Amino acid sequence: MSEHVPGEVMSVTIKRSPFNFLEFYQRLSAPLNRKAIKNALTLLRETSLHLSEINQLVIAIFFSKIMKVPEVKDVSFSVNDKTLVLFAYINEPNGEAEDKIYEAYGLLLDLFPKVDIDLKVLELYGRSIEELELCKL
Amino acid sequence: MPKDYSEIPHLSNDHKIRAKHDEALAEMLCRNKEFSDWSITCSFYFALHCVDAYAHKLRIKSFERAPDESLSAHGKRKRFVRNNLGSFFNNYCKLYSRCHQCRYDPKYFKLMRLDIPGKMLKIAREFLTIR
Repeated sequence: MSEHVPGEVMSVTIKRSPFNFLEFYQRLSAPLNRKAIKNALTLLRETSLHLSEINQLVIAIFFSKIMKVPEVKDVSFSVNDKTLVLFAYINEPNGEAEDKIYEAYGLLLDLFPKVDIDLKVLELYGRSIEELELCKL
Repeated sequence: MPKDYSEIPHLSNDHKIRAKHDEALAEMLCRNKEFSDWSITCSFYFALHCVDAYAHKLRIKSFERAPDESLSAHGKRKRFVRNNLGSFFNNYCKLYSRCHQCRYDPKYFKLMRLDIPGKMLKIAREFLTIR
């Protein structure tokens, strides 16, 4: 990821992305909160995780969309071979919240047609996220 | 060997037959309180075969990942649902996620809300309307 420049995060990333960034930008501008994406990207950069630029952007967009859904207790991700696997944790089934999560996921699939992005929504039923660590296969 | 799946007209029908087979097992397991969690997995594959039947009808060759491809088979199938069967996308994802959790979460079958297997079978049945 390029060095963080306040207010210019998205343009820096998009210029270096391997797909049609004009179309991407048009899709991005309407449904997404850029400030939230910027914050998520900043948080990701503060970790020691080695993620590709494109995966950082996917994760940041997902976080920015999902953090608005109150039923989502947490989100995490893993990189498995060529696949970026996103996890969203809810306490128990909730059709409306799940629809919002899958709408965000669908948007990611539209925005990143060449990136293999998987999503699993896991139900905690009062358990901690750590208890589900082995489900993240 | 045929060049592609479009030259095998029976394949779409084979997937429909397999879908009905999975539906029957899902229904049977759904009635069995002890093993109703496995009904969710059957419901997912029931829906998956409905999707594959439609894909073959559209002459999609295969969802398998080629060695140089970035998208996995499940990833390609999900994108197919997203792009061609948009109104089914959320329900397909619900089945996919729960099928995963049923198989890998050791406590899920004990904790799972009891109405979920029946709900998953109901949404899988909606895939039968794909024409």
